[in-house]
Amino acid sequence: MTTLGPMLATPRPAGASPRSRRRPWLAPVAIVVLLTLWQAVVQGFHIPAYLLPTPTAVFHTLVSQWSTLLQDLEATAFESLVGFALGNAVAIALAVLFVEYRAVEESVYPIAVAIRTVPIIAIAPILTLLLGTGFAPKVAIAALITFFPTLVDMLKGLTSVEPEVMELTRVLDASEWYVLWRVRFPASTPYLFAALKIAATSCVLGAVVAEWIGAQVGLGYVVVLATYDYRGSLLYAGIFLASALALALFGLTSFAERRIVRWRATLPGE
Amino acid sequence: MGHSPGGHGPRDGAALVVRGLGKCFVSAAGERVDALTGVDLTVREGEFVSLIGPSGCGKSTLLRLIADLIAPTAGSIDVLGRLPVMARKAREIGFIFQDAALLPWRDALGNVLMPLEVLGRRHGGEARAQEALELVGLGTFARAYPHEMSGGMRQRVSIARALVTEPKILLMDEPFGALDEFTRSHLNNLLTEVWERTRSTVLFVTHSIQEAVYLSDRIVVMGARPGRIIREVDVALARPRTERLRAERAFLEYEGLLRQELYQGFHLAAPQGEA
Repeated sequence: MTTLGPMLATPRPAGASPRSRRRPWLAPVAIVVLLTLWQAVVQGFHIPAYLLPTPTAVFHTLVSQWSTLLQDLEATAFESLVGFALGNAVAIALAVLFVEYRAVEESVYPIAVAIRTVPIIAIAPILTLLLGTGFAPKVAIAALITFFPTLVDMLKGLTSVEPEVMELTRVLDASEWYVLWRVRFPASTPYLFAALKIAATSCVLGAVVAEWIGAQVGLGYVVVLATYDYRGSLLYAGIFLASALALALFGLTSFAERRIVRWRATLPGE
Repeated sequence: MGHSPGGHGPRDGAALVVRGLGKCFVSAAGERVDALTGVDLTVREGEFVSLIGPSGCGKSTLLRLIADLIAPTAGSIDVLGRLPVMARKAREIGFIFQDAALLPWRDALGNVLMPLEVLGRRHGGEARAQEALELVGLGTFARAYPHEMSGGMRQRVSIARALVTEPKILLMDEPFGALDEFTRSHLNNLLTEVWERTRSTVLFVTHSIQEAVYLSDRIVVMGARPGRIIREVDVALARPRTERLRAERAFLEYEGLLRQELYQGFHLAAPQGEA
């Protein structure tokens, strides 16, 4: 359905591109309406706070417990970012190795797929046992969750160079190094950023899940603690901060993409 | 390496000597396909030769063999007295593809600079790249990106990119095949102008009889199944050639002659031809 949509759409008249018709005020208005509705429902039906707190109560908790929540946010942000960097760096390096040495691809790719199939929730306790309750297992899981999508997309990107362009580099007798850095790498950037945008949100997910298993600090720790203590507003404050963190990382990645990929970026299937 | 093993005695001004060349592929079904058999061809230095023929006659294969992009299964190729691989490594070969094959993340100038960069001559290369762009009439589009250009403009950039290293042999694989009639004849004129100035040796693959007559000193007619040379036709039309020539009697006679040659070969090769 999603792929057919744009094809079935009637041609747009000139000058009415979707960008010019955008109404940026619609999203904030929708959010305000939603929050007001939420507040009204909770108060009108007398829903207990441990089930669903009002938005104002969540806001109060955010303000009153800001100093401890900030520590939790920092911890989760640190784990997410280090995991993001590590997972993507390994994935990019491996993709390059795969392209340069077919034998590495043939031997390591199945292992990578196998790792992918193991549920993160299942490995998290094992990694906590292995690496302790500090930052290490959280970083490891955040890295693991970002690793595979980036590996797949980066591999696709590095091999997306037109066959004629590859023939041209052969006619010019360009070095392997030149082909990798000046041809394959730039060609891969739209694919890489597609993966990095996924990784920007999934690394936070990985860190939070890892914190459930065993932690003394972090937004995942806050969420688990608040749930057990029936502290609804703290639970929602933790969830809100985790979402905000993921959104911020996604925004930063999109910003970097717009700065770096300035040329036409049409990925197959877009 | 004084004498390259690809040499075959004195070249007598020949840029390219092909002897008994054959290339057979094994298809996915395991069948042997003769893409080319027994091809003999000599191209003089500074000559403009077109290869014309139906799909599957091995025109592109011949070009790729000469450029050392693929290896022959029979016969020999001599490019400027060397093996194709040596000529390629000496950067004496320029190749222009049907698709412009530009790097989409680079502007026109950046694309033309690319071969100089590969050759380690980036320093001072900007001026030469700019010159090459001016030669193809794109001097003011140096900062335009491929996605901002028309198909014809992109192909002109790719011609500038091939010319910037001043290759002795220029191999063109249906460079204007994907363009509309008007753009095509415009670029034909541009190519003759540029060629009359540079006088490099050109081997030009095309499907268009008119284009072949307009551009060439000689036309090699090829047939399919197996890919082979059927006939060579010298085009004794005066140069410089201009647009007016296309309507002249001599020009039309060449077109008629070639059409006859081609369709004979075509019907022989494919009795249920789709033409």
